[in-house]
Parts: sequence; C-alpha cells; structure tokens
Amino acid sequence: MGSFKEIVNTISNPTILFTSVLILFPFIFPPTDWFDKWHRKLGLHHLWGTKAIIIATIGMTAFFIYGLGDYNFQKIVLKPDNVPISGMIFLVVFFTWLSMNQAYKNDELLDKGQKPDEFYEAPNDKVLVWPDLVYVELISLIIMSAFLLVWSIGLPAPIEEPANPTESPNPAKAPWYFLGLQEMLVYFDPWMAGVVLPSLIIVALMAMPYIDRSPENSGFYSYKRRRLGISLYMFGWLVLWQLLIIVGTVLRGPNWNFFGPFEYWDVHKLEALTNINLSEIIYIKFLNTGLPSNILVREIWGILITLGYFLILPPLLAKTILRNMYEKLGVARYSIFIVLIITALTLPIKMYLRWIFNLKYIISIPEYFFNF
Amino acid sequence: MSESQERHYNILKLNRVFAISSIIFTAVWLLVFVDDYQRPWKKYQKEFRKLEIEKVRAELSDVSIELESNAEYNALKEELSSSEQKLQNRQNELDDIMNQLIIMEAELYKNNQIYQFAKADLDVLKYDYEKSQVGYKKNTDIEQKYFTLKDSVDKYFFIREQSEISIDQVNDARQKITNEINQINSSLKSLMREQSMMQRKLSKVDPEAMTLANKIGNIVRDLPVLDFIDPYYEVKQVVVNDLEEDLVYMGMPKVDRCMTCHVGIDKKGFEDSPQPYTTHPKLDFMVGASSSHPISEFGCTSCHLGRGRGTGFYSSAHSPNDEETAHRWEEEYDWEPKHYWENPMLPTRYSEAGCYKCHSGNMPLKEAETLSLGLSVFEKSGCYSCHNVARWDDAPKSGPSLYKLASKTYKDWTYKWIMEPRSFRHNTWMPHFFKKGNNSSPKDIVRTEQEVLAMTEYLFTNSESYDINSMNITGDYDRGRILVSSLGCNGCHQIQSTPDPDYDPTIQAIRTEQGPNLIGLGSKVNEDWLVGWLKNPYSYHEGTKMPNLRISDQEAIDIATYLLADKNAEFDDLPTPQVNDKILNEISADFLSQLLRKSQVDEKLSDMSTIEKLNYSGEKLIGHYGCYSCHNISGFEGKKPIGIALNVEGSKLISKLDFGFWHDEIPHTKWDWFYTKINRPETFDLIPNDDGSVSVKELRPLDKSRMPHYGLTEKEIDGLVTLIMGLVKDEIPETKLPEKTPDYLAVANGERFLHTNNCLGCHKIDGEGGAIWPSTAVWLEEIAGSQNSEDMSIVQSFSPPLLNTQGRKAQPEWLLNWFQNISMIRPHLQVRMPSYDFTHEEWNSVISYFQSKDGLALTYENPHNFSTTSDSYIAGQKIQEEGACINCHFYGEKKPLQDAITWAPNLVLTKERLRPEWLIEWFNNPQAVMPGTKMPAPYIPVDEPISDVKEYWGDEVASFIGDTTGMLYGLIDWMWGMEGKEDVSSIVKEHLNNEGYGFISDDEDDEWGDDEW
Repeated sequence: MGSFKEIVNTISNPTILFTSVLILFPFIFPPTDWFDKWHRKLGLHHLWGTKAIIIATIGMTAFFIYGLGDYNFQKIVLKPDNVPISGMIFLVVFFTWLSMNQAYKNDELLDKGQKPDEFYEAPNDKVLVWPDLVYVELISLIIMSAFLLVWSIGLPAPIEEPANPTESPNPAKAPWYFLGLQEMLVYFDPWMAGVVLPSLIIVALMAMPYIDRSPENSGFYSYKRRRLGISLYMFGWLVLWQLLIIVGTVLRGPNWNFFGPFEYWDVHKLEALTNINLSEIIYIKFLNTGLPSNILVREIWGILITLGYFLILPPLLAKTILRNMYEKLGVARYSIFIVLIITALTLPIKMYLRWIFNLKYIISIPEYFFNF
Repeated sequence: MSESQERHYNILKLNRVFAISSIIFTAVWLLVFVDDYQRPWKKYQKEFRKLEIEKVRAELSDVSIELESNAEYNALKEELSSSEQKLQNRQNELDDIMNQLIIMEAELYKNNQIYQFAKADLDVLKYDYEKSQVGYKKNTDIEQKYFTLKDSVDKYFFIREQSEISIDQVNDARQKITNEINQINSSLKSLMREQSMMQRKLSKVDPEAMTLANKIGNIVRDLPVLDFIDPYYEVKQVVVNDLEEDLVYMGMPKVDRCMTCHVGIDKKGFEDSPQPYTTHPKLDFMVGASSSHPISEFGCTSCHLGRGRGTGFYSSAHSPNDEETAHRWEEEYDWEPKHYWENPMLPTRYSEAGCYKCHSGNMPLKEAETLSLGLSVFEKSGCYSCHNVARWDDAPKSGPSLYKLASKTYKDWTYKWIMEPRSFRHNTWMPHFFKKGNNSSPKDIVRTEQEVLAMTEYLFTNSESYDINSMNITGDYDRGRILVSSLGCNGCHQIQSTPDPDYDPTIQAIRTEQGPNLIGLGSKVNEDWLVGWLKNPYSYHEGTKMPNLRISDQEAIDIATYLLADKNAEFDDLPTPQVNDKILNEISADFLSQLLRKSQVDEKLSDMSTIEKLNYSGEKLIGHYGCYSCHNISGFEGKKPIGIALNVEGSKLISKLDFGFWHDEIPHTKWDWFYTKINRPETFDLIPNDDGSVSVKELRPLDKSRMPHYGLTEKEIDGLVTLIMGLVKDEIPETKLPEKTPDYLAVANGERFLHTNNCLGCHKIDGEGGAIWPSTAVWLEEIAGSQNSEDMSIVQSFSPPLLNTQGRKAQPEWLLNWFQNISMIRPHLQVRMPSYDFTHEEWNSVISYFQSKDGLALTYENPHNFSTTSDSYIAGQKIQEEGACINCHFYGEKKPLQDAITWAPNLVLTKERLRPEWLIEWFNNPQAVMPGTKMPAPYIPVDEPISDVKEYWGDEVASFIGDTTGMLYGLIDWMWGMEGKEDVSSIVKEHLNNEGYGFISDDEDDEWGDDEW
C-alpha cells in the first residue's frame, strides 16, 4: 500500500490536482448544453444520485481511516485546529450533493410541467413562523450547543507556546477561513491578494442579485435553467475557495512548500523557485537585450497585455461567444459581470503562468510598489 | 385555538424532539460538571492521603507504645489517680466552696451594680458642681449634695472590694485542693505533647479520627460545585513573585503547581514511597522550609524547568530520562513530548543544569556532581576556546603553545599526531578532526593527508627559535623513575600506557589529567628540550600551567632518560605521505577562490612553489579548523574563535537546532541534540539509512562540520550537556542569588583558582582532592614494601600536606613570602611544592580564600608577646621536654631523635609561620584539624593532683593546673623563644643519604638507602 500513498502524494501536487479539477469541472457542473450532453454521456449525472453520496461518504471515510494509520497524515489531520477542516470536507460534499440532487429532481418535475418539490402556496402571502420556524430553530440551537460542549470536552483547545515575535512558526498559517487568501499570496502581490481580490469577492456577492435579476425559477433548487450562473459560482466557491483552503491546510508545509498528505514535513525540502517577471522574459530571453531603464518602456508589454485582457477581451466576448448574454444584460450589467469573471480567472491564469513559465509578475514596478 | 391551523410540522412530534434534545443537552451539561470534577490529580491526592493516614497512624502507635513504656509517664499516671482519689474524699468540702462561691459572686454583682450607678450619678453631679462655680454664683446646695454622694460612692467601692477579697479567698482555698491534680496534669501534658500533636494531625486527615461534624464536613467540602469554597483536594501551588516566567512580551510571576500531584515533595518520611508521592531526595538542601532553597521562594520549575502551571502529566511537560522510561510513560500516562513549551522539564540526568543559572561563578558546585564534572570537562577539553562563554573570557588557551614547536618535536610526529591524536596517547584531550564519519572516504583521506601535511609545514616554518643547551651528563633510568613518582609529577600527570577499562570520570580523576599522560615521549620530544622544559617550563612558554619544581641538572637528565625510554613503536611506524601537487592545488584553490575568480586562481597557483602552497594552505587550514583557538600559533594572534558563542545556548529555541535527516532517530529535544553533537559531532552531516548504516551528505570539503571528536564517555557528555542546558539567558533577581559578601567572593574565586591550577591534585582540603595519594602509595611500595604503602597514615605523611584550617593556621605574611620563595618545611617529604610564577594578586587571592573560608576577619593581629623568664615559658619548656617533641621535630639544627620516617617541621620556623590561636586548636585535638595526622596531642597534666604535678613537673606547670589553654600557651611561649637554624635541608639531605628513612619493612636488607638518598 506504500505505492498508494505515493500515488496520492503525486496527484496532490498542485499542477496535477488543479489541472484535473479544471478539466473535470465543466463536465460535472456543465455550464452549457454541449457540456451537459457529455455530462450525461459520461454518466456524470449519476453523481447526484443517492448511490453516489453513499459511495462517496464510505469512500471518504475509508480514506480518512486508512490515512490515520499514517503518522504524517495523522499529525496534520488530528491537529485540533485542522479537525474542522476535515469535517468541512464532508459537509461541503454532502451539501453540494444535496442541492444538486434536489435541483435535478426539480428539473425533471419542471420538464414534466409540474411544480417543484419545494413549492408551497402560502396563504395570504404569509409563511409560518411561530411555532414552526422558531421551534425548529430552538431545537437546532439546543442540539448544536450540546454538540459544541461535547466537542470542547473531547478535543481540548489547542493552546500553543507563548507568542514570540522573534520566532514565527514555520509554516505560518492564517486562520483556516483565510487559507484560500493566503494561497493567492503565492501568485499575487500582497496588495492584490490581500486587498483588491478579497474586496472584489464581496463586491461580486453584492452585485449578484443585480446582474441576474430574473425572478424566474427562484425559491427552489434547479440547475438546468441557470446552468452558466450556477456553474460559474460553483467554480468560484468550490475550486477557488474551498479547494484552496484544503490545499492551504493539508498540503502546505514548512516554507509554504507543497507536501503530499502522506509526506513528512521536512523543513529542509527545497523547491526550485527562480521566478522572473514578464519584462525579463521578453527583453532578456527573447530579445537578448538588457532591461530598459525607463519603467514605462520596460513594463509596456505587461501593461498592454493587462489592458488588452481587461479592455479588449470583454467586447470581443460580447461580439462572439457571449453575444446572447450581452444582449440580455445590456452594457452596464454585462461590463460589471464580465470584469468580475475575468478578474476571478486571473487566479488560475497566473497559477499556470507560474508553473509553466516561472512567471512572477506581468507588470512589475517595485519602484512604486505596484505589481500585477 | 378556534380552528385547526395549517402547520408545516407536526407540533407534537416537534415537542418530542424538543424533549429529547433538552434531555441530551442536560446530560451534556452534567457531563461538563463531571469532566470538570474529575481531575487527574485528585486520584494522586486521594492516594497520598491514604499513605499519610497510614504513616501518621503508625507514628502515633509508635509514640503511644513508647509512652506506655515510659516509667515517668506511668508514675505520673498513678500519682494522678491517687490524687484524684484524694480529691474524691474532699469532694464535700469542695462542693461547699463552690456553693459559697456562687452566692458570693451574686453579691459581688449586686454590689458592683450599686457602685456603678452611684458613680454615674456622682459624675453628673461633679459636672454640675464645677459648672456652679462659674461667675461666683456658688450653689451650696449642689456642693453639699455632691460631697454627700461622694462619701457614699466611696463606701460602695469599699463594699465591692470586700466582696472581691472574700471571693479570692474562697478561690484560693479551692485551688489548694485542686492544685496537685493540675500540676500532675500539666507534666503529663508535656510528656504527651508529641502524642497529642500526632492525634491532631491524624484528626485532620483521617476521617475515622474525626468528630461527627468534621466527618460530615469532610464529605461536603469535596462535593461537586460546593468544592469551590474550601476543598480538601485542591490544586496546590506556590507563587514566586520575583521569579518570572518569560512570556516574551512580558514576565509573569512563576506559579508552580507541581505539588498538586507531588504531594509528599516537602514532607519527610515518604522517601521510599513511589512517585509522585516521593519526598525530595535532598530535602535539607532543596525544597525544605529550612533549607537554603525553600520551595516557597524558589518554586520547582525555576530549577527543573517544565510547565509549572500544568496539573497533568502531559501538560506539565515531563521529560523522560531514557527511552525505556519514555515507553513506560507512553503506556502508563499516555505521555508524549510537549512541543508547545520551549522549556520542557529537564530529565533527571540533566537536572543540575538549573544550578548553573545562579551559581555560575563557582567551581566546583557543591551537591552538583554532574555539573561540576561538566565544567571540568568543558575546561579540560577547551570547549571555551572555540565556543565563547563569558565565564572563561580571560582563560588562557587550553592547549600547549606551538610558538617554538620545532625545538620540541619532529615533523613526522606532528603530522601523525594531528591526523589521529589518540593513536599516540589513548586518553589525550586533543580531539580528532580527521577520520571522522564525514571525512573518512578514501577520497577524503587523500585530501586530509595533504591538509595535515600543509598544516605541519606551516607550524614548523613559523616556529620561533628556542635556545637549548645540551648537557654532557648521563642520566639514570631508575633514578629518573623514582624521581617522577616521588617529586609530585603524578599530581598532574598520569603514566598510563593502556586505557583503563574501569575508568570512571570524576573531578578527582581529571585532576591527574591536568598535564598530559606521559607515555611514548621517546617518540615525541627531543632530550635537550625536555631537560630544559623540566628545569624551567616558563622559559619555553610563559603561560604554561606546568610549574617550576626546582629540578637540578642531574635530576632533569635522570627524569628525561626515564621518560624518553618509552617509545611508541606502532605510532612511529605509521606512514607519512608524499606531497601530492594535484590535491594541494585543489586545497589552495578552495581558499583562493573565496577571494579571486577562477582564472586568477589558476594564475596564482601556477606562480606558487610547492612549499608556498603548503604554507599558504597550511595557514588557511589552521584558520579553518580553528587550531589557533586552543594553541598559540604565530600569525593568529587576536583572531576570534571559530565556534558559535554558547553564552545562552540553553535558551536557544529548539527550532534553531538543525536535526537534519535524523528527525526519526534522535528525540526532538535540545539535550538530545547537544548530546549527539558532542558524542558524534559530524552526525548532522550524515544521512541515516534503513539498515543502520549512514551515508554522507553532498558537501564540499570546506562545508563539512569541523567540530572535532573528543572520545568522551557518556558520563562526561552528560556533564557537558548539563552545563550547556544551564547556560541560559534568564534574569535572576538579586534576592535569589547567593549574597555577594567579600567572604563569599573570596571563597568562590579561591575555589576556582585552586581548581584551575589543580592545587587539589596534590593537596587535600576538607576531604576533597589529594589525587596524588594513590601514586604516593605506589612509590612507597617500591621503596619500602607493601607494609608501608598499605598504611594510610604513612601514605598521608608522605603526600603533600592537608590544607584544612590553612587560613587560621598560617601567618599570612609568612605564607606570601613562602609562596614566592619555597623552602623546606617538612623534612621527610620528597614531594616538592612547586615554584609558581603567580603574581602578588594571585597569591593574595589564595591567602584571602583560606582566611575567608575559615571565617577569619582581615584585621591587624598583635604579635605574640612572651618573656623567657615567665612561669608560662618555663612551664612550656617543661612540657616540651616531657612531651619529647624532639623525637620528631627539628630544634634548629638539632636533629630529631627518631628515624626520618617520622620527622616533622623545624620548630624554629613556628613563630614566623603559625598563628598561636590555631596552635591551641591544633594541640587540643590534632586529629580533628588534620584527620590522619601523626602528630599526637601534647600531654599536659590537667587532671593530676597538684602535689604530683609539683613533684614531677615543677611549680611553674603546677601554677597552671586547671588552665589547659594556659599550659598550651606556655608551650607556644617556649616555641616563640626558640632560636636556631631555619633551613635544615642540607642536614636532612645528608641524613637521608647516610641513614635513609628507617622504614620498618619485612625484608630487613635495606638496599635503597645507601646510594640515592
């Protein structure tokens, strides 16, 4: 079984892991009819059936039980502050399945011209709050409190050594919910990853109801009628957020190096990291001249690419692939939508640029603390 | 509800779910209390309570039995019962008195009340009367009233007093009757004090011995929730406010809760109980309230480290002493190393590290054997030469000077020695830099050979000239041998050709390793140098610790003949390689390329001759390996040492220690890292393989670990690790440090000075030291047979003198002069006090050490006055006559009557040398001052009838009858009056030459006496 551990360690490597997730994702959450066709041809729609969740639960549980036999895996997973992350994996899988399962059922019902499962004709436009809702909330509160008490007894608080400004822990990790952001820091300037992108996430969440204003098919789970929207959202939520948290928790070790789940966290492990900027690639690698001293000349290529990405790509898409959407949303909403989407896409793009070209920054003006 | 409303959920069902979840919540809530109530330490306290009850019960029964068999106690008891009987008979009388008393007391009360009322009225009237006198309006009415009342108050006062008197009388009568019983009772009480103390103690811990109310209280106080008030089982702690726990941003007072489980730590009588109940093993020294380190002022973790606030086995960060203990703990206590506490508890083998925090100025440290051994080994190994530690800032280099190496030894020998010192001398302190785990591959060896050649070349090229005169006399091997064993060489040197399998490193053992083990010298040094060195070591190296023994030419040549006869043939046969230009180029290039580009290096190398390259790389290599840290080497004056400073090494964060690939093999603790680093310094250059073998990391030659290998024993390394763990940055408040009185400092500095210069290699002070004794016995065996060598008193008398009470004994001025100009004191000794080249200050520190140690105030002392015509003087003369001091002591040039074996100092020296006060002490009980001395207490007629004394001893002695000190002062007067030759060395020499010592031996033919002596 040693080789199984090695296989897991290998596929946990970010390039393989991320690439395979990226390829599989549209087939699991098909954004268009074409993908949906293949989704069904490949039988991936069975993922949202009852059998699939049973198998998945058993599989994941078995994996964890097997993994706990390994000292390195055990050390990471059983660390008191990592236990919730392990729980989170199960919860995310389950609730994703639950919503998709429900959505597929509703899709079928709607196709047959029936009402969705959750349909409820409220008398006088009112919903039942007392005692229905409040009672259930109270019960949940009680059960949750009991659960938290048992947890806190069973797994005492992870008190560590007194904080010491002269010694930062290695790896120094953010709280678990920020590990996705910390992962972004690897690829972006701190200012981008720490300020701009997180703000944009909040902006995007606020903008969502204004971009998709259609009241149709709201109030219940469904997939077919909002394929693109749900698929995009799920990509952001599952891949760019959840996956990065799990990677940051389990797979990032000392010196922020990648470690497979069954690998010893050796402080001495080295990764070749000789990253260079776009300007260096162009002027030194391709043109074989030195870097121009003028900042603007030096960075002009990066600036052009960036401008092109943000200014030319959206109208181009509006004219071609996304013509329908552009017509439906209008200029303002389309612009906001597309800028948010392509900004989110800069993360995977930069990841790949880093892995393939060792690219550090597209625009690098450290003189003015601006890097992109 | 009027109509059935539509419901989303079945409310009845929800009610049920609510009920169940509430029950679950309640159960969990109770679980919280149970969890809170069940603390692991309670179990230990309960167990300990049982132990304590058992112990107190046993003690109580012991005391009771003892009391029962105590005659006084029984007699008293009988007396008591008879008195009680008597009292019984007078009971009627007593009853009458008691009744009378009750009536009288009632009367007193009544009378007293009348008086009080009247007095109050009087006070009011007194004011009115005084007021009435204002403004000449005298009111005679009030005046009269006042004085009438005053009379009656006085009368009542008198009546009350009468009552009181009669009560007192009755009371006296009653007391007379009961007095007897009270007296008996009080003496019984004092007899039974111990017993009742035990009973009180028992009634506090043992429920069976409690009253009913206390029994109930005993249960209630420990009930859940109620136990917050005053529980029996509680977290016990000491808070030490002026010792702080370093929390980086701030300090917190030290809080130690160790005694929550280690309940018996400060209680006598649990020495043999199992952990955690055991009493502290050194209760009189540590922890105990009357010890010098009471637990209330020092806590526990200030010495032992660990997490004092922890109340569990894991949370207090225990550390196991060895792997076996670790496994046992894992099973029994679910133990694992606590990573989140930087200072886990020291394993017991290193616990003395805590001593060093406060006592870093001492050497040796009392009661800290491991640490003292560590300090000794640290010093001997010269660790401080490479690794700066403030304590040794001014210490000289630990190895011999190499300034004039060429005059002393040979190139070949030097090469082989550097290569592998222990192949020449098995127990040398010179460590192995080569042929270690990280530089032993065939390729490495080839390079090493050239490196050592280069270093040797540099040393010899840069050696200064040293004039040695060769002498044209021949030496005698046997005489040399006897000289080496008799002069005192063995105080510092061993001659031990093979390793001792039972070698047990102790401070005492290391004393005989002050200088090198004198084996194989024939292979090492040339004769002329050795003779010169023996005669005056300081001329070769000013800073040497080898002193001048005032050795004559003939003696020097004899000793040299003896020492040089020992050659190490195996070592001599080791090959020395040829210079290999290619390798030499590589070595030189490694250093050159640190400063130059590759092309420049090549150019430079082609310009250099082989000798130049040897010298160049030799110099660089000496710098690289840090040879100059321990040895004086020309060209390296003032260079900084190569090792990291160890001043606060014990406080180093463990994350700063690189365990390399050994994370699974070496426990992740600082001490294990240090142990490994000292035991096998190259470990972290190696990679462990599964089959137990190792491979070497990919390292360039100059990147390899340079730390050399000393071949130390486990005990020695433990000592070193203890010391390193004690080198911490903790700030200790003055209140916790030993008080720095002048006496304390003088003693501490003196002890260190004595240690550094190995005085205890020869001398014994208060039972410590005297490492030379065993070799004195060997010498005695050789010259006088085993009958003499096995007699410890003879061994002692032929060994350097004990220095007990030296401060009280010697006159400081004489001592200083003597130190600087040694002369004979004990005529029978062969062993010589060396002439050291210490400065005045250094000698003074030695003298003030002796004086402070003996509690002598540094004041001007009156000279001893006497008169040769006084009774005292004449009595003294008589006493010395009767005591026959002349049997052993020289009286000026007058030789003692007995054989030289018993000879003792010339008494003419006494008046300058010794203090009269000490002499009295000495005469009174020589054995108490110098255990084992041959000096008997002088006989003085103290208890004899005065007529006898007058008859036999004369009137003068008789006049001191009953005054022992007076008689002894007479003896002193007499000695102070002695005149005569002070230096008797020539007489001694002549006598020994002609008559020998006069040893009593089994074989009477005394062959040695004629020729050499």
